[in-house]
Amino acid sequence: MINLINANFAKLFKSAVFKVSIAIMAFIPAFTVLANYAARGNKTTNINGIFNTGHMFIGFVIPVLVTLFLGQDYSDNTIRNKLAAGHTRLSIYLSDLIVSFCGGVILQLACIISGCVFALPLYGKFSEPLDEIIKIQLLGLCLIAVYTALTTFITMIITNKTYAVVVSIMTAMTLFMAGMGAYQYVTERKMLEAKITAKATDTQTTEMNENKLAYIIYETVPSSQACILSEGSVPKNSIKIVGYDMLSTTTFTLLGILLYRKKDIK
Amino acid sequence: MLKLTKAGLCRLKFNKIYHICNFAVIFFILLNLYSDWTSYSKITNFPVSTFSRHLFDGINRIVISAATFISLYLGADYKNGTLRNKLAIGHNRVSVYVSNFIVCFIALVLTLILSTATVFAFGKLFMPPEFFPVVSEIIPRVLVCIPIMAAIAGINVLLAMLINSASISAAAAILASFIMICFSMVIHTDLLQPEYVTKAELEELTPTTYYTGEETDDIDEIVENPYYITGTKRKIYSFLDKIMPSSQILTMSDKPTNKDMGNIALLDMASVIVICAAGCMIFRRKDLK
Repeated sequence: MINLINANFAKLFKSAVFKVSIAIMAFIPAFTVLANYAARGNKTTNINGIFNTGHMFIGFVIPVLVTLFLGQDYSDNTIRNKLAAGHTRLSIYLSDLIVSFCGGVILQLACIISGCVFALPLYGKFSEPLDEIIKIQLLGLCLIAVYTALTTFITMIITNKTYAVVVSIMTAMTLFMAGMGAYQYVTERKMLEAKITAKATDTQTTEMNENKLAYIIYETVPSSQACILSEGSVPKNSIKIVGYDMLSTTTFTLLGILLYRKKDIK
Repeated sequence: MLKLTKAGLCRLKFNKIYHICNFAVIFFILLNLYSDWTSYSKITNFPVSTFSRHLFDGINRIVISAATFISLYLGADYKNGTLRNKLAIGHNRVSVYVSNFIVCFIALVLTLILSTATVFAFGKLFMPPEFFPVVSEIIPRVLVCIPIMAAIAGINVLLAMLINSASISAAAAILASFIMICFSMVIHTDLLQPEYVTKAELEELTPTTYYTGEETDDIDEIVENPYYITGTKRKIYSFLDKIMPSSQILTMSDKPTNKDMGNIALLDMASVIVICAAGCMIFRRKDLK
């Protein structure tokens, strides 16, 4: 499996799609910093969350990168060569997953470096504590793991690269819309609850009907988690977020391995 | 070119992706209508504005469906080598490009008719007659969507014909459409912001930012809206709002004037001509391998 990982890394670093993805991920914080500076000067403290700008966009970049990168194996028939060379399907799947995950981490690193390069000269040091930044970035790694596992699953199951691209982007879009909707619903709900509680006397009760599905999506869907992380502080439900992310990553990976072992590779 | 168009239409009839895309558009329209209908019917009657919003929201979904369908439909030509066959039997590149555009445009117009018919059928079946919108008001706005569909077809055909790889063109087209829809929603909402609002309205607009937890007595006091855009930013936003097809569809749901509708139609027809001319020119020199 080490050989496969090495070969995949060599392929990844030569990939034009990967280079474009890095450029996109580096551009996002740079644009945010410069736009913020142009609009408000250096009077704002909002620049603290600059490391987290990539979390929202990585949900679209990873599906495109992983499907185009791994789908190439099918279109070039290198997947059959790998099997013919004696590698098991399990090792092929896992090596692809590991390299894709590392690719995702490199994309996030590009975002962090670009954020520092542009924000530090303009705004000086960040005022948020270092341990908070590290904890948020570690939670960000969980998001990357979910996106990578899901996209690897789609790519390895769908033989046609073009269809895999379409399906993974559509899935990313659906997750994005669902996550944003749930995040907006729950945030507004929390605000409303605070408002009602502030107005209510001790004897009054503040019962409200809740959309349970929105709360489930709020905690489980990566795009909603990315919104939570973009608030700038370590969320109260961070243990739950890690748990849900690990559960979804494991589920997608096990399901993928199971289906991939029985897949007819033409 | 007539033969190519006929062949393209014949292929379209049996194209599974096209039918799946149409099904997805209809499904999401019905899902939205149903969820709004059940929540609204509990409170009050179904408002007419919601009908119009649903109609044009549904039409806006065609933008994503078009990106998916056109990139896969035309990408198959490259992948299967049919593009080279077309050229080998004597068709020139311009006629191949234009026939592809015509087929995609017809496909989008059919999807537009289908989605409009779905919303109208839902309205006729479930809405009380007094709330059913005046057809003569809605139809011209739907008709203006035809040049908008031509512009969408033009952009997607350009991408699909110029990028050899179907998967890359699909990724580029779908992501570009999605970004365009999100961006147009943001700028359209920002442009509709009033310049002055009451404090109560301001709190309503941004509950998470402006709610301080303190009671204020002067909720009717008129203040400047911090979200009202001015200066160069407004000019850029207005320009983008006019030229982006998804923004134009959103404009159609806001009861536009006849002048606005005419301008949009003319702008789209002009942009289709420019895009197709540019596409033909680049495609003529393209190395098809």
